[in-house]
Amino acid sequence: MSQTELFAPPTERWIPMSPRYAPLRRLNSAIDWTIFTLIVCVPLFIFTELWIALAALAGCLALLVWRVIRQGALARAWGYAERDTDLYIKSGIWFRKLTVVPYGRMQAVEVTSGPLERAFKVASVKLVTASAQSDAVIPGLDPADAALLRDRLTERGETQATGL
Amino acid sequence: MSNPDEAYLLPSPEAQPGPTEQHNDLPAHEPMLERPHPLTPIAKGWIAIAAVLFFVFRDLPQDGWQRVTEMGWWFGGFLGVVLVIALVAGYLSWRFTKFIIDDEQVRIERRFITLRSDRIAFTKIQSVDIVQPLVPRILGLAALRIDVGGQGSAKTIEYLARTRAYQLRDYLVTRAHGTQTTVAASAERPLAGVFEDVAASDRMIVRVPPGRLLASMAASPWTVLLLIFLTVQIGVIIVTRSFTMIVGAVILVPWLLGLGSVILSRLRNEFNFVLTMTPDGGLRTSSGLTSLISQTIPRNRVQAVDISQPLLWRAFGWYRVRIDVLGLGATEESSSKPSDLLLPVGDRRDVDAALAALWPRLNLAGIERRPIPQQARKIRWLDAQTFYWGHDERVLVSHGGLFVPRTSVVPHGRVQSVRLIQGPLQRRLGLASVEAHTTPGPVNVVCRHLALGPARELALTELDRMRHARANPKLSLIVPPAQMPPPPPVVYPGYPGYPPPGPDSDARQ
Repeated sequence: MSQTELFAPPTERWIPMSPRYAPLRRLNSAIDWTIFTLIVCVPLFIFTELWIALAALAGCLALLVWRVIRQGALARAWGYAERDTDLYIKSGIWFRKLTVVPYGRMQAVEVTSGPLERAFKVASVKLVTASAQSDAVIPGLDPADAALLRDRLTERGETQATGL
Repeated sequence: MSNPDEAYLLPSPEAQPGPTEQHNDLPAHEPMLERPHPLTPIAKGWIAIAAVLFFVFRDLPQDGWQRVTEMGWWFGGFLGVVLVIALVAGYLSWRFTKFIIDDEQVRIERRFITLRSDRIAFTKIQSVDIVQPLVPRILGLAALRIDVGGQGSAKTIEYLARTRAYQLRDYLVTRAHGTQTTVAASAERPLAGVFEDVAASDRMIVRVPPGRLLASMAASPWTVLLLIFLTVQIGVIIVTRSFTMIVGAVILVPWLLGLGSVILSRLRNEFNFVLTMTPDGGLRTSSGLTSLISQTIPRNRVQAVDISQPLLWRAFGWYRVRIDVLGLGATEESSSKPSDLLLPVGDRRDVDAALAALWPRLNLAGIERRPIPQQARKIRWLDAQTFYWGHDERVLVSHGGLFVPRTSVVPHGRVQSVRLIQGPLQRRLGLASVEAHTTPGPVNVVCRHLALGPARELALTELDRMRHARANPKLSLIVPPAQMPPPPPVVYPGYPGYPPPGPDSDARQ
């Protein structure tokens, strides 16, 4: 079995995230790495020689740019697929994950959308099972799609629910 | 119910046409009133009493009453007032605490200062534990801890006479158990006989001798490190003939204290560990050095099992078995929460006996052990050969580890979700891992470093096995109650000479 087959979709294809999810990730990443840059470089500018601080700043900015560029690929790496009895969620580039949650095991479906997410018009759908390890989240959906998905999941969860 | 002497018995099977009609046609089981034992205030407030007595009397042997007078009457008087207030408060809280048990529920009524009434329906009871901290234990008292599941705190009934607590526990467990398995069974049981000494009817499964527990703690890697360190220290002192190096030992003090507290708490909690099976097929553990805790393991809520073997235990062939229990979560070694231990330390035979009692249909030896591919050696240099995984129609098993070999077992029907994961190194070698997620607890089922084909197949077919196992009760690891020997008769354990109150007695005050 080849590498691509390992994370191949169980159906024809993985359903991708909203096209607005990648820009959201870029913004989030830019904010995070800017804060990182400030924390690292401000003390260096104050306490060390200028060339050290400038070198660190250049390094941090390079890191920032690289991370922001990577967010597009990371956003594309997310995908989900619905089958009759289970939901499949795939993510990651370096550390790849494929999580499968049977509808019968879902205890709750949560749709959340924070202020930034609302600004970008995306929402995330979280599947809660009795296990804390499940951690099944679909992060960047169109809000309308997220609501539809939630309704489908809840309905299937009700019909297929089993006791613990 | 013509005979007043039998008024506290459950309705007889003949008198009870069916469980659904029970509440309409028949007089309800009359509520039983239970009060805390009169010594309860002392058992609860012994620290305050002991402190007061200590302050008053500590100087008496030397100075006599003279000293007390010098100390000032006001101080002694203050202590006396505190003592009196404590005793009065204790008395009042005892006086106004009631435990009422009727046909469907246990009620804990506290009417001292704040009114509080906890109602616990029998059907909601998950397990009933008996807790005996040191002082109540000396006084012959015990508390009942009723676990109602979920994240809420357990309800406690503090304190009853010990035998009384045992009787009540058995009654509650049987009621809870009965209503959980078959609705009618608990109420329709034959009523002959009164409660007997249950301990005698229990079947002993594993007993951990105190010597073995101590030896198992001595055989922890920490003690070995400590010994090595001490040897080095002594060697250094002998060779250099100076004590300057001993200063280095000071940094070890906090670490030693921590280690000591871990060992002590394990000793306190796991001393005299006994695993028994009650006549109705329930599992019960009892252990403790100062405080004795006896706790029911709700078998239908056990989600997964973890069998581990710390490095030095291999010389003795010892193992430790922990379980995931639904609603229990992860527990700390020293916490007072219910424990997740099935067996603190035992040899292969003990492990087999404990597992057979928990899951009679588990056949670990019959599961084919599939090794992981050779290329895994490049990332698991030392222990690649220890990993294996396997499954039969009932359970999924993963095993691995060189220093602490660990076998994790989860029934397919208990798996919550499945994940296929692959890191960059694994990708280079063509490997992937499969996780089976269980409810929070000590068990982590991860089949590590499988070849790509088997990994994907295991993850995706596991979903079918999960579904199949859940839909098929025959694949349950627990023998259904119908195949078990009939449970012993259950009668509400009344006090001899303690007439049950009428339906409108002070239970409804």
